[in-house]
Amino acid sequence: MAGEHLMSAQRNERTAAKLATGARPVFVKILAAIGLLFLVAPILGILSRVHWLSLWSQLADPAVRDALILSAWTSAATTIIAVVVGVPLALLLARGHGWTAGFARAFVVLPLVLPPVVSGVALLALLGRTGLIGSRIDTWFGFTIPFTQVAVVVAQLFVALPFLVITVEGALRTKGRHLEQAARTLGASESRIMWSVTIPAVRTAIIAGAALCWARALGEFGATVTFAGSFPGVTQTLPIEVYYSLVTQPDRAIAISVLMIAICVVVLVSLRRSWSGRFLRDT
Amino acid sequence: MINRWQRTLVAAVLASAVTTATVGCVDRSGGPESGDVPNASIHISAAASLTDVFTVIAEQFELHNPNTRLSTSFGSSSTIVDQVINGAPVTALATASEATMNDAVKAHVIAGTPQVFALNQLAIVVPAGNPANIESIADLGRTQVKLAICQPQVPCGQAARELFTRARVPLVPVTFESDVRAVLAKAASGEVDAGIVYRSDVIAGGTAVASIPIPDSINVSTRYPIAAIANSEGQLVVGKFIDFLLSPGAQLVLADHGFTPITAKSR
Repeated sequence: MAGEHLMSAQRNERTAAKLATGARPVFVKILAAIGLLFLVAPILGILSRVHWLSLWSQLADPAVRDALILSAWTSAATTIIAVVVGVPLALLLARGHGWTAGFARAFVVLPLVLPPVVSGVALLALLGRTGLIGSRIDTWFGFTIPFTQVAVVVAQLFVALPFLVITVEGALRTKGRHLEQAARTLGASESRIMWSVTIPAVRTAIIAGAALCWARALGEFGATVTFAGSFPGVTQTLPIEVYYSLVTQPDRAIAISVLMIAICVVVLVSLRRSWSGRFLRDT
Repeated sequence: MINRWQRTLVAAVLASAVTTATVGCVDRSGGPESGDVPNASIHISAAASLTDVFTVIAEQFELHNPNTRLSTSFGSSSTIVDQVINGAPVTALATASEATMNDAVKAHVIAGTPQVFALNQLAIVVPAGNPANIESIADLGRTQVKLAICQPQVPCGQAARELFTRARVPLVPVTFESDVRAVLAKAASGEVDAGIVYRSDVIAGGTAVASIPIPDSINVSTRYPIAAIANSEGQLVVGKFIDFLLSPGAQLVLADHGFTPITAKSR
């Protein structure tokens, strides 16, 4: 009797699992396979071009090392700034109503869909030497932003910040509202609610958003080359190094590309295991 | 509900069918009236410095050869050579140096022998009004002067490097740009105090820029070769275009745009 019960329970569980997964006809599986192949195949293509024996010597080149160091710290700085200003922006957007919030949301999405080179032109128009603000900075402080590492971070921040804001805002819309209300009825102050209820509720989303933001910053090319230019060790990031060496030193370009793929895979996989995995499952 | 969707769908399909039919009719009636010469269309991939002059010459060529369609695209010489080697669908290639053309020749993508059709010399380009008061190439060695040059892989970058070696001036740019027009743009927008471009680019920059002379004794010149791409269709037309480029009329256009025309002797 007990055994039968157990078996039927297991069967029920299996049926329930099947029901939960929904309809998956064969054509869906075929199209999905095509989609996945389209994403996987180019990575295999680049791996087929790698000269594994000379890979290390290509990457040990001082020019590559300089670009790697530059890319590492600028993308890290971008991510930190993005968290500091992006999380508050997401907080306001998630709780905001009316046309101002809609307006702000549109501008947050804009850099996602803008061609990066247009973002670069926009940054030049504002912060360039002859730009709206840039010209004043030049007159008052004798400092121009383009062609500096500041420009690299500014370009990265402009294109990568939306990734963090959108991820965190999405989580805020679905999470923590009831707890916030409960905390408010218990008389907690607004800042106490934010620090002990809201932020912990979306912690995983902040980390996932920061990872996406960082990956986008690391890969930034168009806005950087337009706004910051390209000089080895100063503004020539890894993607620019890839583009410039593609013609004359294709082996080096491939080696750097593999390095960037490896870095991104390691970071995203480890995040998926610890934090973003939970975030992705939860939402 | 479903009915309404179906109706919308049918209407959309009908509308698109009618549109296609109408456009088709227009296309047929608007085509060439008599087919005495078969239509040919060629695509020339050319160095960035040729952007303006080739656009003008291509229009003139089409006027002389009404059945020919000529399209152009531009990029740094090393980039366009790389694209052709990787199978870009072009019929002819025009580069800003013989060295980059030789890369294409060595890769066996060129039909016949490249033909030099113009020369160009370097120029110092400054934003209009010359904000940094550049008077000679020696001023470009000053550390506070912001200088843009081409990246070393492209002809204008190599030529700039040679110029500074000859002038014995330290070369300290703030940026290496991907092609010569990117250098021009940085100077025209005032983001840099000076850039090293070709004389033809200064003319292309119009009133947004001015140029500072470089003494002939140290100036670096480059030669522009053009060639048909092996196994491409329309090589006959490319031959006609090359003849046209070397004709007095086209050479005059090249000279107007700051290039040095090629004489029979220097060919």
